[in-house]
Amino acid sequence: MSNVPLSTLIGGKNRQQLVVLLITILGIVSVAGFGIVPGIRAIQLARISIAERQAVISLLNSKFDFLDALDNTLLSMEVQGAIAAVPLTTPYQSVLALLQELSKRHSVGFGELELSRETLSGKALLQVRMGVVGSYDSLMGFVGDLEQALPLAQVRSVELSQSTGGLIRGDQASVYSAKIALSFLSDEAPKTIGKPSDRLPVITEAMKEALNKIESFEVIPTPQAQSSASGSITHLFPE
Amino acid sequence: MNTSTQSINLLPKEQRTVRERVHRFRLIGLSLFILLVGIGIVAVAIWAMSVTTSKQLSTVEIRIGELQRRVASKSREEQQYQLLANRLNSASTVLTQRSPLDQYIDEVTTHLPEEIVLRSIEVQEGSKTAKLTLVSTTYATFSSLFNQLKSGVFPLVTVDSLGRDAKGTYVLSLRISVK
Repeated sequence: MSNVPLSTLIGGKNRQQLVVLLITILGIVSVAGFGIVPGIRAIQLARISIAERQAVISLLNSKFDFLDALDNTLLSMEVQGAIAAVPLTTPYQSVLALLQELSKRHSVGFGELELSRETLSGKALLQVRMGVVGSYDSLMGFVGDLEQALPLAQVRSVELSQSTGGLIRGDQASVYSAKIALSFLSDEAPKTIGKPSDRLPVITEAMKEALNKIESFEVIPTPQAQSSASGSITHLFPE
Repeated sequence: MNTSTQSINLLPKEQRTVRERVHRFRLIGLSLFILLVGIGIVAVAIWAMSVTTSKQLSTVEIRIGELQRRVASKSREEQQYQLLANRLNSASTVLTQRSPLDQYIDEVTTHLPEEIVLRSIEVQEGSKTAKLTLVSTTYATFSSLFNQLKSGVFPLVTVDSLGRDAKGTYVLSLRISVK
């Protein structure tokens, strides 16, 4: 075998066959390398893409169905209530109206009152520090009602001390003074509702519970609201 | 007796080897050609599949565009809903965080004996401890208070000071933790 020259194999017709063989191998490599492999990859990517888009279609379908089923009137009312609880801007007016109304209702006298605005994690907090005077029951009623009204108040501290009165428990003549610190949260509206394919936020059980509570809380109309409703000018504080 | 037949190649050994190699060479060539044809068929099939997949993809894209337009037509409702969710999230946080300080004060004072007068009470948010100053004309009235406190109504009671002022009134300062 070692004595057979190579020219015997690759000469004449065999050389032609060798060329055909080489072309065949080149063809296989070309078709597999440039056709099949990228083709399979492209199909895989396209299928992944289709699956992702199917998920988007499903999301958009359910989002549309959900939005379509919403009761606009009820939604508007709930939004109004929620905005009254956590206003879009610092609620100076509504807080003053609330304090004025509750102090009148509980016969609580106002001493000092300080309102200051702070920003915490992008949200505005209206800090209220006040000194009030009244009987023990009236002051407790005042604080209790503050927590049952809108905007939502967070009572930070209460310091109650007897100003005048004897040593008889429940003496209505006893006057207490209280230093109360409160805060009211306000937050701007979301800047954007996002893309149509974005998921809607989920209203959790805790949020539903908050909504139920808010709906049971009292809203004191601001003088501005009263004046716009009645068409007359109302002063914030009585003269 | 052996009946099997054997073919005998009478060609010289060198020529025989060359023919066998040529035969193998042709066989390999043929196999590769068949493989090429097979791969070609597969390539065509893949091309056809990719065309179909592209069509499916474009159909899906059109469907998404259509649904996006439908969802956009409900943008007012979406805005309202998102605003509601945003407000409720904040409201829920406030409601969860806040401590009913008036209820703490009530809880503390209702457990005080009738004879004792509350001179001052201080409650801070986040701390369930109320700081109290109680007064009474007689020391004996405090004994009923101590009995009350010992009964375990409050988880923790710390007496800060107990004294008598110039008017002869007993003053007790203590801190009470509320459950």
